[in-house]
Amino acid sequence: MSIEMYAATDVGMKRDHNEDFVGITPSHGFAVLADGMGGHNAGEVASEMSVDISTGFLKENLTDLPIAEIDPETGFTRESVLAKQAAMMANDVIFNTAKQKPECAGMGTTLVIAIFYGDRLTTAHVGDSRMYRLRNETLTHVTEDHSLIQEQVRRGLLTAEEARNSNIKNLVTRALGIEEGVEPDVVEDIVQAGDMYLLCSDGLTDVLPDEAVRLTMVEHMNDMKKMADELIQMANDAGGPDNISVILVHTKKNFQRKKGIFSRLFSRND
Amino acid sequence: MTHKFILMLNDEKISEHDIDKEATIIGRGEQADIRLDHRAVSGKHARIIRVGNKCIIEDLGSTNGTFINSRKMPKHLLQHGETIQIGNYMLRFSHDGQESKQKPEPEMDSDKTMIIQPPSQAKERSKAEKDMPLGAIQMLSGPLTGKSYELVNSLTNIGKGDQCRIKVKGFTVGKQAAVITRRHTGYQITRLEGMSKTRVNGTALGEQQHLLADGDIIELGDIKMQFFIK
Repeated sequence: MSIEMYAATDVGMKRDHNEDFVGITPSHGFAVLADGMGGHNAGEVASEMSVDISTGFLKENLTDLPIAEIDPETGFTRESVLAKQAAMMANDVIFNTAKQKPECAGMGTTLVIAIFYGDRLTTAHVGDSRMYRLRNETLTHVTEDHSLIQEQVRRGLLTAEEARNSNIKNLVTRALGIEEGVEPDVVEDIVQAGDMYLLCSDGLTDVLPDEAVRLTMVEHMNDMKKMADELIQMANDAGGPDNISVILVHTKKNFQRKKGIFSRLFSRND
Repeated sequence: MTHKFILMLNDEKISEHDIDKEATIIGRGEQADIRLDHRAVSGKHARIIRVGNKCIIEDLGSTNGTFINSRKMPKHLLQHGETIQIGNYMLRFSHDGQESKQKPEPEMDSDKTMIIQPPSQAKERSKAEKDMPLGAIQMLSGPLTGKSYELVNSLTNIGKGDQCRIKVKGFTVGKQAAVITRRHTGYQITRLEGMSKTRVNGTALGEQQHLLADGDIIELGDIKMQFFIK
């Protein structure tokens, strides 16, 4: 009945400030990671806003929600609908702030939200921050980047290795706060006990191939802090050109959210 | 490094254009940097974005589309020698690598993340993604032969457990043997649990998810079913 989460972020070797932002809320089973960009130091404003807004919104709305109920209109669970709404709400607020404050003009951010409930997970993402799953020592991409290079890979014009070495890998085709309205990608999947999930910014994956990430995760399965530290250290050893953030989520058994007082008093299941 | 286009009409070279700006507009309108006078060309048809020493062509929502090597593309990273077709014009892209040694380009901060999506395109794209195809599963054997399930939900699980939408009985079949997830890029199947392996077109699924194609045969225990796009 438990999940464990661990988050770490590092400025890297080349930047003088950290525009990434991470947030974990184990009591409600969700994690949020954002990689800000643009404006004069406004990238970090955008990433922090996106994490704060979506965290507040999700906390409030997940508390008394029955687990994995299907929203008949969309075919998604209620949790997925909330994840999407959280991203869209953060987009609105960042976009409006950027319009009002000249020092924030042009700011934007990527966002990955992962919610764990029952034996399911929902991932909503915008931009090129990623989520991976390690299951039985096999590493799988849960998200697909919104980047120009990923579009080339999908069409078969580039291999994953060529993509990692390309000099246009940082051109994202979707981000939060850039325009009115955003369309996050939302996916649901089944979680199994023993899965390890990795949310990360492109500061990690631009310099480390998937196999290096996989081997490091496999080696430190028993120690999440060590796993996170080691991943960051490897990215820094490879030059650390960008900020590096990782969130790790280890599932032990199916996770149930702590119920709020209202539902504890009135739920028939209790 | 210089980038240029050789503009051709009916296999004859008309002119040459250097790509020296960050953004170059191709179209019929007056604001276009490269003007193509033909009724199949939109006012602002496409644009070329220079990023470091790479060029990207992006269709600006034109009526008749932009074709690269005969394929219609919303956006494309140009390679030396590729041909762009707009209306009945051809543009051959070339970049000369020799000159770069004499005139080094100012180094671009390629680690800085940038956003290249113009707003109008984003709307079109998200509209297109809302129209993602609907898949379905039809049972080809077993007690439910002929029954079909539309895969409207984001997640459809298969197995003998009560919570599974597609039920498959059998001693070796897992409670939740496999799951089909719906994504913008299509439907993916992942095996989960149980002794009985889930097979797609005769091949057992490994740890990685598998992208389903129209007509794929899925086998679980002694039950066969088919995936198809509606």
